[in-house]
Amino acid sequence: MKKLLFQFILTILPLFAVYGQDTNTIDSLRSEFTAAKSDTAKLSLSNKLAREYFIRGDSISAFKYGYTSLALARKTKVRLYQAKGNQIMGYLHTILIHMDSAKYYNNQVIQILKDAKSTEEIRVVAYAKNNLAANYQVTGQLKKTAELLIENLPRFEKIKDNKLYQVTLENIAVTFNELEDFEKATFYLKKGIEFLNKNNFDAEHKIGNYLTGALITYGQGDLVLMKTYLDQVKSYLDEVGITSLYSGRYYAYLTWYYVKKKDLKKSRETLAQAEKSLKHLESRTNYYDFYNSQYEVAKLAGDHHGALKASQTLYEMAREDNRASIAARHAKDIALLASKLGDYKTAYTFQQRYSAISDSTKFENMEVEIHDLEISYQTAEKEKRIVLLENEQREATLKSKNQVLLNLVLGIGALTFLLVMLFLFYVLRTHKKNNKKRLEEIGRDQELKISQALLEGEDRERIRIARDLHDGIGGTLSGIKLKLSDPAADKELMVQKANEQLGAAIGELRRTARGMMPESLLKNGLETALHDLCADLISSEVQIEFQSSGLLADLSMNNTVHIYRIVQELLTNAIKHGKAKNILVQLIQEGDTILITVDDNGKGFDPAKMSNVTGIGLKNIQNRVDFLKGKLSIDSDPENGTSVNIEIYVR
Amino acid sequence: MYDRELVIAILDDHPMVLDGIQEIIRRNIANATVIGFQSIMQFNDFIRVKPVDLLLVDMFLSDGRGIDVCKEVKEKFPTVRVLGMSSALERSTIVELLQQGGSGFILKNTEASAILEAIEKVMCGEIILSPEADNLLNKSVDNPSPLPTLTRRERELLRYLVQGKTITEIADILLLSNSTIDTYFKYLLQKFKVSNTTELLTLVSRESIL
Repeated sequence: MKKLLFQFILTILPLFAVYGQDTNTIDSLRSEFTAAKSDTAKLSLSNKLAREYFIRGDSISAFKYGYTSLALARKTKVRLYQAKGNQIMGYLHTILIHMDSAKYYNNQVIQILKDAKSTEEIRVVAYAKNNLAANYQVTGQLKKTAELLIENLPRFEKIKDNKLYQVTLENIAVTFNELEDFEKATFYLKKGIEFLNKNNFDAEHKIGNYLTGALITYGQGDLVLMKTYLDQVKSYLDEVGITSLYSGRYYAYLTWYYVKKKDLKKSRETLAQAEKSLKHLESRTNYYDFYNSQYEVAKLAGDHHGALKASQTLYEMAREDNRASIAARHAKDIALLASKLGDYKTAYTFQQRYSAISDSTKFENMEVEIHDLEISYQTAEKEKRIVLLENEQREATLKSKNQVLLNLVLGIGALTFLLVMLFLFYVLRTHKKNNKKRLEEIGRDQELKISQALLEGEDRERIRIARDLHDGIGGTLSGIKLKLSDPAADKELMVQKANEQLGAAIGELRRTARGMMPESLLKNGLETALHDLCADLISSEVQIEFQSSGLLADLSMNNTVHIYRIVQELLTNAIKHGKAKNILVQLIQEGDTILITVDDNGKGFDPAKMSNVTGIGLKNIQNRVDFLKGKLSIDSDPENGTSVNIEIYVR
Repeated sequence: MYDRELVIAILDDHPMVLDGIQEIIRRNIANATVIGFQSIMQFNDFIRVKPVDLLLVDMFLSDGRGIDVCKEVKEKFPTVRVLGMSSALERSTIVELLQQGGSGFILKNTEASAILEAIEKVMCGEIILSPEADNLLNKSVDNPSPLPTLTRRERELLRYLVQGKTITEIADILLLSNSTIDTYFKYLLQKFKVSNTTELLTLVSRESIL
C-alpha cells in the first residue's frame, strides 16, 4: 500500500509559504519590475513574478522570469542575489520534477552561500537544502533526504522561521514514514504538531500539517487518528473556504479514509469534491492524489474497468515524471486488474514491465546511492590516477626512448663485433685452409711413399713366394716326376718314395699358402692367428712364448693384417737371421694403443750396420708401422739379442 | 668289419676331396653308406631325418667353420662321432675342435690307410690326431715356469721402479709417453698378479727377478 507519494508537496510548501507571504498581484509586480532601477531589485521582482505565474499554471511565463532572474544573478557581484537567481530556477525545476536541473540549481545556491552569515543568506540556503532534500526524495534517496532535513532544522531555528521549522519537522516525519521507520516518523510528527500548537500559525499551515498527520496515520493503518487529523483539517478548511490550496489533498485523503471504512457512498461523494478541487490547484501531486482516490473507489465498487483506467493514468503519469518505483506499482496493479478482466495480453505485458522496472529501480537506487556517496572521492581518485598514468606514460616514453637508443648502440656494437669476427674468421679460415692444404700435400706425399714402399714390399714378398714355389714345391714335384719316369726303378719302392715326396710337397705348399694369408687370421682374429703362428714356428731349435693382454676383436682387417705381418716378419728375422733359441712375443692393447714387443736371444746386430736381408725385412716393418702412424724402436746388440718395440694407434 | 651298417657323412666344399675320400671309404669299408655334402645346409637337412654314425668335416667351409658344425651336431646328436680334417695345420683350430667334442683331426694329405685307420679308431671311441697335429698340440707358446718371462723393456722399467723413479721420470728417460709406460706398468702388475708397486717390488726382490 506504499503508493503514497505526496511527500514532495511538503517541500514545495516552505517555498510556497515564503513567497506566499506577500501576495501582490501580477500586474502591480510587473509595473514594479519595469520601474525598478537596480539589478538586485529587478531580480527580486522577477523571482516573485516567476512564482506567481507558476502558481497560476503559466509555467512558460514563470520560466521566462526565472531566466530573467538567472541573467540578472550573473551580472551582480552580491552573492545573495547570485544565489537567489539560481534559487528560483531550482524551485521551478523541483516542482516540475526536472531532477537533474533541480539538483544543479539547488546545489548552485548552496555552493554560492556555503558560508552563509546573514539571516537572509541562511534562509536562502535553508530553502535550497529543503528543495534538494525533496529532489533526493523523488530519486528515492530517502536517507539523504532525512539527513538534509535534520541538518536544516538549526538553520530555521536560527533565523527564527517557525513556520519552516515546523514544516521541516513534518517533512522529516514523512520521510521516516516512507523509510518505514514509524517510530521516528511518529516522533517527528508529534514534535511538529506540538510545535504547531505552541505557536501561532495561520490556518493553511495548520491544514498542511494535519494532512501530513493524516497521511502518516493512514500509512500506519491508524484510521482513528487519521479521522481526528482529517477533522482538524476540515475545521481549518471551513475557516479558509473551499478555495484553499489544500482542499484537493483533503478530499483525496478523506476518500481513502471512506474506502478503508468501506463506505462507498461517502467515498464517491468525497471523490467528486476532490475532482472539483483540482480546479483550484492543478498541481501534479493533486492529480496523483485524485487518480489514486479514483482507483481506490473503483476497487471498492468492484469496478475493475474504472480501477484499471485510473491505474493506467497513474502509470502514464509516473512514466512521464520518471518516477520509476511508482510506475512499477501501478504496472503491477494494471497486470492484476487486466487478468481479472480476462485481458491476459495486457496482464502479461504489464507484468513484464513491472518486473523490468522494479529490477531496474532497485538497481538504479543502489547505483544512485553508491554514486552519490563516492562520486567526489572517485573523482579525486580518478584525477590522481590520471596524473599517475600520465607520469607513468611519460616515464615509459622516456624509458622506451632510452631503450631504443640503447638497443641502437648495442645493435651497432654487436654488428661491428660480428663484422670483425667474420673478417677474422675468414682470414683464419683461409690461413687454416692453406695450412691444411699444405699439410695434406705433405701427408699425401708421405702416404704415397709408404704405399709405394708397401707395394715394393709386396713385390718382394711375391718374389719370395715365387722362389719358394719354384725351389721348394717345384723342385720336389720335379724330383717325383723324374723318379716316376725311371723305367728301371723298382715300381713299388718308386711309388712309396713318390708318395713321401708328395706329402712333403703338400706340406711345403701349406706353409707357403700360410705365408700368403693365414686362414685363421681371417676367421679367428689376430690373437688366435698370432698364437697359431707362434705355435707353428716352435721347433726343437726355437721356443716361442706368446703373451697378450686386452686385445680387442673389433680391429679392422687392415690393422689386423699389418700387425700380423709385422710379427711374422719379426719372428722370421729372429729365427732365420738371429738364430734365436728363445723368442718372446708380447701384444698389449690399452684403449686405442697397441704395444708390440718381440724379444729374442739371437745373434743381434748393429742397427747401423744391418745386413741387406735383415735390412729389407726391417724396411718392410718400418713401412707398415709408418702406414699405421706408429712408432718403432729397435734395440739390438750381438750379446743380448734383439728387442723390437712398436707402438701403434689403431683408431 | 663292422657288425652293423655304418652311415658316414662327409662335409667338404671341395668336390675332388669329397669324391676322393668317398671312394676310399666305399672301397675299403663294406657295410658303410657314404654320403657327401658340399654345404652345411645340405648336411643339416640330411641329419635331421637320417641318423649318422660318423661325420668327416673340413675345418674351413665356404658357408662356415667345421668347428661350429661339430659343436651343433654334438649338441643335437651326441652319439655322432666327428672327425675334423684340414689341409691347414693350426693349433688353435685343433684345440677348439677337441674342446667341442670332436673325435680327432687328420690332415688332408694323410694317406688312405691312415684315414681308414682313423675312422676305425674313432668308431671304437678313440681320439685320433695326425702326427703333425699331435706334434703341434705338444708345442706350447705358454711359459711353463711359475714366474712370467719379461721383455727387455719390462726389465728396464722394473729397474727404474726399484730405483724409486716415477712413471713420468721413466717416460722421460725412455723417451716414451706417460701412457705408454703406464700401460707397460699395468701389464707388469697383471703378469705378476699383484695390485701395486710395493707388492711388485717386493716380489721382484724376493724372487731375484732382476
